[in-house]
Amino acid sequence: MIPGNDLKKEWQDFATQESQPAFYRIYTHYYHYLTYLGVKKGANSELVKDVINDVFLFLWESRLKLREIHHFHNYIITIFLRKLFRKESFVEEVNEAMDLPEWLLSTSVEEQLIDREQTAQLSKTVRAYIANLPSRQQQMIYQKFFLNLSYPEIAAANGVSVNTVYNTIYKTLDKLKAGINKELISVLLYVSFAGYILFSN
Amino acid sequence: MPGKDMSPLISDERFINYCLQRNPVDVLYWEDRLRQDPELEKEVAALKPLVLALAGQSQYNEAQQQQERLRQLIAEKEQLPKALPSPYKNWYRMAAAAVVLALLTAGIYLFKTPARPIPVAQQAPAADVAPGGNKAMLTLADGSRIALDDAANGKVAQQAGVNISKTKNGQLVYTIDPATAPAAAITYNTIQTPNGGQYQVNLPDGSKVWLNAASSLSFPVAFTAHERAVKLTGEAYFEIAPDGNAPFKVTVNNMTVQVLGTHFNIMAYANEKSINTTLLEGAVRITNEKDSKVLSPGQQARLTDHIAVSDTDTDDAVAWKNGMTVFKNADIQSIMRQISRWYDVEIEYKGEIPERLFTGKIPRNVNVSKVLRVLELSQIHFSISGKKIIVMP
Repeated sequence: MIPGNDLKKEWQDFATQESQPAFYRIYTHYYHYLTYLGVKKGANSELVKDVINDVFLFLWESRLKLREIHHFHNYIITIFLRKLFRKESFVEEVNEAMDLPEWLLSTSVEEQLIDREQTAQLSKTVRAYIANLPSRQQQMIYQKFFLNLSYPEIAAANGVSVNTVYNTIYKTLDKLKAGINKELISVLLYVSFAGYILFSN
Repeated sequence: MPGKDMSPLISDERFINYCLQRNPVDVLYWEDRLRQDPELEKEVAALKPLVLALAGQSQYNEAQQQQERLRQLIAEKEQLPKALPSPYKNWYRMAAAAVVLALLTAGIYLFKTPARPIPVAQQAPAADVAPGGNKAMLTLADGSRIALDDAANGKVAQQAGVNISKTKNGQLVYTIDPATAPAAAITYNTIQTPNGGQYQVNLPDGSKVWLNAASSLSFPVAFTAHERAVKLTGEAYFEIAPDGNAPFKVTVNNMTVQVLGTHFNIMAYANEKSINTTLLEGAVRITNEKDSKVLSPGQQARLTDHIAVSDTDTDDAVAWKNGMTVFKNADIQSIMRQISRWYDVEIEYKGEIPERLFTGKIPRNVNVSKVLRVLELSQIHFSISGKKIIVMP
């Protein structure tokens, strides 16, 4: 797979027509890609987040000058790494970044995940559960379940111990598992209770 | 199923790859394992949809949140530059522009209200705190005190050789009155702003000083021929009229800033980590008992136990004077200190607040709930009760 190939059309639309939807599609894809890359390189999660937004703010502001840039994949990674480490030259690192897993390069990976093999109810429960967690825990869940970074990598990026990460992941699965069973039970209870009212009248 | 130990599954990195069908080698490995172990297969069958849901929802949630922040950053950038072109020449025009901008920005925030609940805005619509305004107390040499926000415009006081009058826009003007005789001895006035107050003073030599909230400036009613010396606490922006014969001197605790004619800002709140002097034009010399440094325009000196000089964005340092609150890579505590000064509120922290650094620009003339709403986009929560803001994770 050629990196960035999928998004060629979006890049065109963004650089020549200032298309906002195209811009945010590129953003969403590279958000995951650059987070993975940044954390793998040992950077702090919060810094990585801020730098990604910095990169895209810069891209948006200089959109009129971007027409000549065809290898936008390398371009985005270069400015990301420059801003992240405040260094000027990054030839080596960009080449190294090419070794990232294939699935990260595919743009469809986001959509694939949302609907595949999931009931709407399960998605809703999980979404509500995540939304109620502190942001650091949300972040660790994202880094584990979506990016599948290692426990030591996630621990380093968030400034917590490996144990904390592990416990967060374990608890998340455990609670959701229990919660889903409980939901089933409450549905059953409700049904039998409604039945009771019907019959007692 | 509850009570089953999931440890072997979640400590295996190949397991998530298998669930997400990402790596053929890992998928084959797990398929093989599950064929040999029907017990494990049952457990995995229950866990797999959860792992998929977590991967899908967490990445969606994360990307959405960040995209929201980026949209906000872009909206701010595209609104703001219009206010910047003529920074320090026309204070009234700037203030007017700031008001318009504030309305625009507030409008954007209102329209952009995200779908998820916003505690501050929704729980208690009545609990809000209005921003600060032009408020100050003037203490004359004889000890009498005048509340400047109540005083009518026009002449406020007359002292030996000097008239003091108040103009409508929170400005106090000292003018030399040739009709009366100058005082024999140097007498001092002090202007003091409370939390939530700001004020401008035009000194008799033509220099202008903007005082931020919770600050004070003591100055002689008339300067002598050889020296212009004032004392500051808190924060002020100075535009000093050039006078080669009489250097201007600002004293803050045991630091002095000596200038000829120049524009600079001093931030010296007692509860901040350092005293920051930022130079916009001209040159200043900063001295404390151990050290002495000269600043050139665009530089900032941070005084802790020593003086460190670095390049800085001067717009940020004087943003408060131009009607904006700006923070760059600031932690929540330092932002809340600014909020507490400008909105005159007490801050209380409950629970473990995530350590985050914020970068942003918010107009100073909006109610505090607007400011908090922007901060809430980053998963910190607030509740307002009376004049107290509680910060929660």
